[in-house]
Amino acid sequence: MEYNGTVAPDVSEGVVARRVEISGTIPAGMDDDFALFYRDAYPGAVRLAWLLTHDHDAAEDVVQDAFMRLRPRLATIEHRNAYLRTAIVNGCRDQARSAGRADAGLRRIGVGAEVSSTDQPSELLDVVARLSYKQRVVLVLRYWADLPEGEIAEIVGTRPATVRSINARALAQLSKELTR
Amino acid sequence: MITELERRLMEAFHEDAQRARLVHPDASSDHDEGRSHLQLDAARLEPEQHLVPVKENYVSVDSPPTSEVRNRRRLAVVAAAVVAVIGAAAIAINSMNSDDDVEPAPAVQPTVVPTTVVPTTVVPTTVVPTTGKPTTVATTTGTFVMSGVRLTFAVPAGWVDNDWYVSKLGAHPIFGVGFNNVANIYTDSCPSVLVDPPVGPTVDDLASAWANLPGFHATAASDITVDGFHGKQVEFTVPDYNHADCFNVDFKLLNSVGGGDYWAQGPNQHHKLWILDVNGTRVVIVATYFPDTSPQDRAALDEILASIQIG
Repeated sequence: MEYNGTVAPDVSEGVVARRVEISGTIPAGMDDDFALFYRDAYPGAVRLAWLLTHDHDAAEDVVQDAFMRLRPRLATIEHRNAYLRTAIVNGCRDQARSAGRADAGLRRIGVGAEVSSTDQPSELLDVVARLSYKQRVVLVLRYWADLPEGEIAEIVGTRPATVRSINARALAQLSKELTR
Repeated sequence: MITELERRLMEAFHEDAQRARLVHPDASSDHDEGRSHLQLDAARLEPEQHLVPVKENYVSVDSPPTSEVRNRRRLAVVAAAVVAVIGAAAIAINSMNSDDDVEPAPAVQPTVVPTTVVPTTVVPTTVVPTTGKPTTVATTTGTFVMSGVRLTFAVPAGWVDNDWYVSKLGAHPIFGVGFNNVANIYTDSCPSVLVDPPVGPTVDDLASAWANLPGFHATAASDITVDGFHGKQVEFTVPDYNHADCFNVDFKLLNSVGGGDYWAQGPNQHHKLWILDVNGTRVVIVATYFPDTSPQDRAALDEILASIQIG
């Protein structure tokens, strides 16, 4: 079952901002589940979103949204990392779609003045960017996240055999493009 | 056996991943042991957490969020983490004080309110499915608010509450019960072509909308009452389309008020729709399953449907 829901308001109006600084040791046994999970999972979450969007702002948005959704039900989720990855994969897809670039998330890199020279992808990634979103997801989850087919299948919402097929087709297409 | 291309992919992805911008000051992958140092602009945030799905999509925005919105989102999540740390520190302080012979310090009240959490309760219940054997399961209660309408429903053990829909954990393809405020439907789902002119605003308009769509084999609409609210029930089955033709396209079925789409998970996915008029809001409850869905899972679907309370 898939859905593009309505836009959820992020915060209420009239936000009063202030600066808070905290520095201290989280006592053993006193840690908050979410705080620790957020701290531990954040880097990988942003990197996954970056690999799928190549857009720093979009990646950050997707990750923050994913954590927001996860937080209320953190205690009841059996596989929180899988949940988070799924939310990110879906969020990145929606980000791409909403900007009218469903299959060009990675290709967006290099377009626009905000992209720094350090953001330039390799030739290989440039070819990866021309794959379909689902193919890119499978490749990233397989070769960056090092997930087994079963977990990738859960995230993508398909069967392991289909993941295998998508992966093979993507590699074949990459190989073909690179030898041109 | 890793091929040369696969090895290159691994290297390219790992190198590329390092380019990600980590704005969280504590976001290094090798943080100090047990230490948390957070410095941020926290805000008194009250994010109105409209229920959003997990698996497959949550929002579809027409335009990219502004930097202000992004900052607010960022603040909301980071503030949540900060509150957690503040709370933990407060507990720790209290704990340390309690070891002394002095009056324990009052608990520090977090001044940051990051989010509204809908509590869930665990209620062991005995379920008598319409098919399959009666089972005793731990059932939680989920809540979804849609256009001001609050829906409460059971979430059987082994099922996941994704806010706007409840699905069987680990099921492929995904099936379950979802909630929607439907604006229009797709007359040709692959590619996605909306009915034009759009279906009308009433329950009857929507209930009869599938009757003329080829391939869906929709049933005639029948009267139903759910928790005191009247409406129509209609069932249809997603045509046996060629998934390859829709690869990366999606077989769209419903277009929601405010934007966003709901689409099928595969050919032959059966849909049972309850279309209700809840004080002027057209609430659509969608239960789906596949031909090979087990009797136990079908029973769980029935349990969820039977548990729905509105208001």
